[in-house]
Amino acid sequence: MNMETMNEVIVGIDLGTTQSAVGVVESGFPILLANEEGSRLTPSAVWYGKSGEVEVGALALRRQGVDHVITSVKSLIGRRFDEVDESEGVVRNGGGLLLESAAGTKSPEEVSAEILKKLKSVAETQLGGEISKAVITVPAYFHDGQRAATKRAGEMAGLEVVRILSEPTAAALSYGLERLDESSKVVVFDLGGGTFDVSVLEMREGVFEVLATAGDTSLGGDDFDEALTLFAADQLGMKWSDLDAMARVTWLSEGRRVKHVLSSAEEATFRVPFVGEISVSQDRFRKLLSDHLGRMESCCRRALLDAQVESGDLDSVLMVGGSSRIPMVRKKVAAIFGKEPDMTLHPDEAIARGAAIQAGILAGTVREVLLLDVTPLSLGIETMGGLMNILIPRNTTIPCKAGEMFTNAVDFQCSMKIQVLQGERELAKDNWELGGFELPFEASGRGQARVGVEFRIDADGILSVLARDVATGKDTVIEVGSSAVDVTEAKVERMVSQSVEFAFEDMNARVFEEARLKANELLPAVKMALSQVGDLLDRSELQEVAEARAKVEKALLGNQSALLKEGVECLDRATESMATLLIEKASRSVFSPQGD
Amino acid sequence: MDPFLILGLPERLAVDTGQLEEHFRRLGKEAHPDRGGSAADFERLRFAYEVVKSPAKRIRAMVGEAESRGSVPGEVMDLFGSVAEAMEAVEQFLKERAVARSGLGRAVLDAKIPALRKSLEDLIEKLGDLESGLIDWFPFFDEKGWDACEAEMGEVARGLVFLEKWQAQIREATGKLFEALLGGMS
Repeated sequence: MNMETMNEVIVGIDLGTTQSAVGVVESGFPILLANEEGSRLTPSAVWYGKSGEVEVGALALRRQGVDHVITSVKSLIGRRFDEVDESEGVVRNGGGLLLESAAGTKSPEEVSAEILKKLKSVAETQLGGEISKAVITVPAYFHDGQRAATKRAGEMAGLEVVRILSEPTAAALSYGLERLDESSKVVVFDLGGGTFDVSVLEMREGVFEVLATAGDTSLGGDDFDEALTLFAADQLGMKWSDLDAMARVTWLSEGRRVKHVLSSAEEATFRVPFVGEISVSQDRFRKLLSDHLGRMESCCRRALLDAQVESGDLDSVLMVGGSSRIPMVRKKVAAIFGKEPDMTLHPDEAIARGAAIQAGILAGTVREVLLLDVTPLSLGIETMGGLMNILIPRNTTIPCKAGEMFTNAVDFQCSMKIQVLQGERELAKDNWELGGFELPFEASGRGQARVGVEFRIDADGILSVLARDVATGKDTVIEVGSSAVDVTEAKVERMVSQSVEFAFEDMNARVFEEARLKANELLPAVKMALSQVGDLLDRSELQEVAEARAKVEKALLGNQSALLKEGVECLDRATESMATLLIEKASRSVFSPQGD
Repeated sequence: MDPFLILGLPERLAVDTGQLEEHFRRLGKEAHPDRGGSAADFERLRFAYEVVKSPAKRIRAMVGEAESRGSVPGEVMDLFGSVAEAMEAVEQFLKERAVARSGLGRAVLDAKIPALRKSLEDLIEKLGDLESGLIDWFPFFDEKGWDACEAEMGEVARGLVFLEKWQAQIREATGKLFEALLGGMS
């Protein structure tokens, strides 16, 4: 390929949780470029040496278990310390976070930039010229902060990021490019290593319009490995908290191996040298994943509701992401959408191909296609009462904007603090806080100063804010600063003072009261549950419930908190299967009424 | 600016949705920044499309000020109580569920979801029927001339605004019920 004949080459990059890929459009077709190991997929793993040397990909991964290797950095990028689960090697940095390495602490952007640099050099070697522009994909459900941080990572790697593209949309592009003359409604179900997205799209006359998107940025194959591993550790009598970082890596990689085996076998053996082994059946695996599968289904249902599309209207259900290989996930998807999923897309490569196509659209080499994406989360501001006032609802086509007029509430008020939020919750505090800014007013009487503020979401899904003084007509670009630091510290302080307060309370009385409330809820619930699903329990289960119930009733008459607490815990456990049966019954009647 | 003018369409209340979508796709291809257009032009176009696509927004844009005051169609008003009641029932359910202390306690509450969902579904159907009924007036208004039926148009507009709002609220409530049943979203 000769770079001279092209005026501009833009590459498409899938920056994945577990692996990444880079592609480009060549004579109208997206192709992925192989790294020096001959692979089109580069593991998203980074190793730092003491004297500053860096290794990325398979080379870095080889050191895992011996040395500290940073993986799954995508689950940390653009996040605040409070948002992520406590994990080895992650340290607080104000409200944000840093990763420990042999070469000092690194930001998630810096680590991601190393992966991007590697992909950039793969492309440069393969294409024989310098690459300076890229389209980078992110989960559709990434919020503003995660998108902006990904863009920064690209810039650190020496790339101008010409578009941040949603992953399911990218997958749809790679599916639809060969079907431009067809009209169809499709669902893209994208379950990767660390993130989950589901999008509903309409494709017509070369226009790919996203109707709705939903997802969960902390749900993916890594969670399945973890669920399997924690189960095995428990069964083998190991306490997870007692294991050191290196041992955890070993256990988790065994969890991943077992998961892979379970994608084709009925049963797999979880084996840890010098500890023991345990066999895991499909049925057990299904139980371990049931919460995750429930959350997935919840997102799918909401995407359909938002798109106002019935599953019967769908032409195809496309599955991408490594975790779409799990038969149980496929079965679930088929049940939700009432249609066998289409597995023709390469689960690990479709997104990078789509990124390459979008790069081609922007470079002008792909002409017949246009993408209309949406913003995944509602954008709003905090109102007086701590509520969220939505300015741009979720699933609005981007780029878009919304205006809001602000006025001074008291005489000579010279500024007003505005907090910008993203999310779907009514209370401001339950949403993701994008940041805040101080809006200046001209000094004047109450209600006289008026400033119009324009909130604009660009094609990358990133927010910018513009203020226009109504009197002067002057526009100012407003920096939306993250106030994460203050917020976090205030929150921590509050939590600490609260816990001190509680410490002085009479512990025994509190424990008894808590247990009493729970008992008073459980006892009538048991009665109702028995009348509805009692006939589905076997004799021993019924007896267990009856015994636990008697225990609680007896303890309620006394005043020993330990006894009541124990009884309630017993009843809680004994009624677990009834709770599952009730929920399954309700689900069946809501989602497949004919089958009930 | 007039959304019909932006889209280059004749100012008519009766709109063929399929044709409108096709029209937008064609214009969007030219105006989108990815195809060399400007972001501002595309935003204007998208905004106009959103207005014209929604029957409630479309007729509201036409009746203007007159829309905000006056009566609402009786058959729409009649549903006000049922909508409020259904929404209240869902709110109440979610509140109770949020404070439930045990798995079984929550499960017993969840057993009510099918009935709640059914009541929302029935309402959506009723609202949809009413909406179609009101939209059926559009060709009539076009033919008679808008000036001649300003009052009727105002009433229909107010009715449609209510219907659209309620439908959105019910969809949101349905989503929350699903979430409760299937497990929350982060």
